[in-house]
This record gives sequence, C-alpha cells and structure tokens, in this order.
Amino acid sequence: MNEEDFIKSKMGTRNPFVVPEGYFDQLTAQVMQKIEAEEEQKKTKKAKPAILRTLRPLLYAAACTCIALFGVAIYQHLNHEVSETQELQSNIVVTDYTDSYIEECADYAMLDNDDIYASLLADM
Amino acid sequence: MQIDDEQLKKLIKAENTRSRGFEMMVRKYSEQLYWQVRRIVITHEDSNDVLQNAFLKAWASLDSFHGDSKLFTWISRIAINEALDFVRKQKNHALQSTDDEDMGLANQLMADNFFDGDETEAQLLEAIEQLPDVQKTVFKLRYYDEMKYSDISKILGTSEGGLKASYHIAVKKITEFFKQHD
Repeated sequence: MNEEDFIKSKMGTRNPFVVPEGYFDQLTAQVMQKIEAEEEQKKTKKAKPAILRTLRPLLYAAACTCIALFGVAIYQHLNHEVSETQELQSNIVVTDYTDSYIEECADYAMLDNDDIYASLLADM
Repeated sequence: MQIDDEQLKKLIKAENTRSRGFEMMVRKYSEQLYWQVRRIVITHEDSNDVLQNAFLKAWASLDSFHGDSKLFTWISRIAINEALDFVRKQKNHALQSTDDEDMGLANQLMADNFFDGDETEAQLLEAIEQLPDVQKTVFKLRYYDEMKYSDISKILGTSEGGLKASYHIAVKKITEFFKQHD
C-alpha cells in the first residue's frame, strides 16, 4: 500500500465541516444582491463625478489664481518690510554720529609722538 | 435542471442576459467552490466572505473572460486566489498581533459549531495547517478536489514538477502524523 492509499484508508475524503441550515439555498440570492448593490453604487459614483468633471478646469483655474495672488501678496509684504528696515537704519546713522564726535576721533587719530611729549610736558 | 457551460457562456457574454447567466453560474458552482474555499480558510464565516468577494471579483472581470477556458476552472481560480490572499493577510495579522488568542487550531475546531469531526480529525487538520504554504495548498486541492497539477500550477504559479514534489512531501508528513497517533 502506498502512502496516499494509507492516508485514504485512515481518513478517506470525509468532510468534517458543516454549514448553517439552508445556507446554500440562500447563497445565490445573497451574491446577486451584493452584485446589484455594487452596480447601484457604481452608477451613483459615476453620476457625481460628471458634475465634478465639468467644473474641474474652473476649480484648477481658481486654485492657480489664489496661489498667484498669495505669492504676490507675500512678495509685496516682504519688500515693504525690507525698505522700512533700510530707512530705519539710515536714520540711526544720521542721528548717532554728531560733528563733535567725528572731530574728536579725527584729532585722536592724528596724534604723533611730538604731540604726546608736548602733552606730557604740559602736565608736569 | 442544470444548464451546460456553453449555454452559460453565451448568456454571460450578451449584455441583456449577463445577470441571469451569472446567477445561473453561481447557483451551479457555488457549493463546489464553497468547499474548496472552506478547506483553505477553515471557518464558515470567513469562507462565506471570501466566496462572496470572489463572485464580486468574477462579476467585475467578466469582460476579461474570453470563454476559451472552462467556466469552473476560471471561477475556481478566482475563488482559490481570494482564499489564499485571505489566509496570507490573516497570517500577517497574527504575526503583528500581540493578542494571546492562539489556542491551537484543533481546539478552535472542537469549539466551532460548524465542525462535525472528532478530535483526531481536528488534530489532522491542525497538522495539515502546519505544513508550508505550497505543500498545504497542493495537498488540499489534489487530495480533496482531485485537481490536475496543470491547473494548480496556473493558480499557484509553481511548476508542475515542484508541485508533485511538494505533494509527495505533504503525503509523507501526514502519513507520519497517523503513525504517531496510532
């Protein structure tokens, strides 16, 4: 006896599984109901996108315009901020540096040895 | 009275009789397909879901059925692939899950209202389930459904030679199981 026959003699081809009563009688109707439901869903899905499909170019155009406007607004806002900062900085330069301060700096920068000796002798 | 496949194919092909033809096909083959799926998926609830999904897929792909192959071979291939996909997903889910629900298939079967076997049969099914995927599937399709190696090869994408070897190993392991339990 080969191994396959041995298994057949032990377990045969008996089916140990069972199904709920009347299951196979209802199965075809259940499957067809599901298919009908799927077809209905497909039809409604198809109808909705038709409106969307016609409006789609308009939606794209609106989205592009919004992005462009937003970009321009951001650019102008940034530009405005930069010019304001520059103006502020130039004001600071003008107000901070007085004539007396510049003269003092210039005098200090032009000191030579003779001036230093003269200054020291004057203090003695 | 059951309608033959050639008439069914004609009904399915024509737009106005497609639904009626498909319904007849479901009525003709659902029981046979259910048992193929049940042996792979094991529980009734899952088998029911898998089979209904398989019919939905078959309906959606009717245009790709050219009618040159047998109607049952075509629909059976869809159902078996659906069942194998389901088992694969279930296996992945079990690997990812941290739940400690693993009480062994034999125990689960003995607690299942839709299992009518004794403990040895439950243990045998558990032993079959522990075989590697290809060995397990080829054993079920060949032993219970007497499916041709060429058809199994098309479903599993494995060579006929490889399937024969897998079947032989599966038979050997199941024989061992019986010898250990005698």
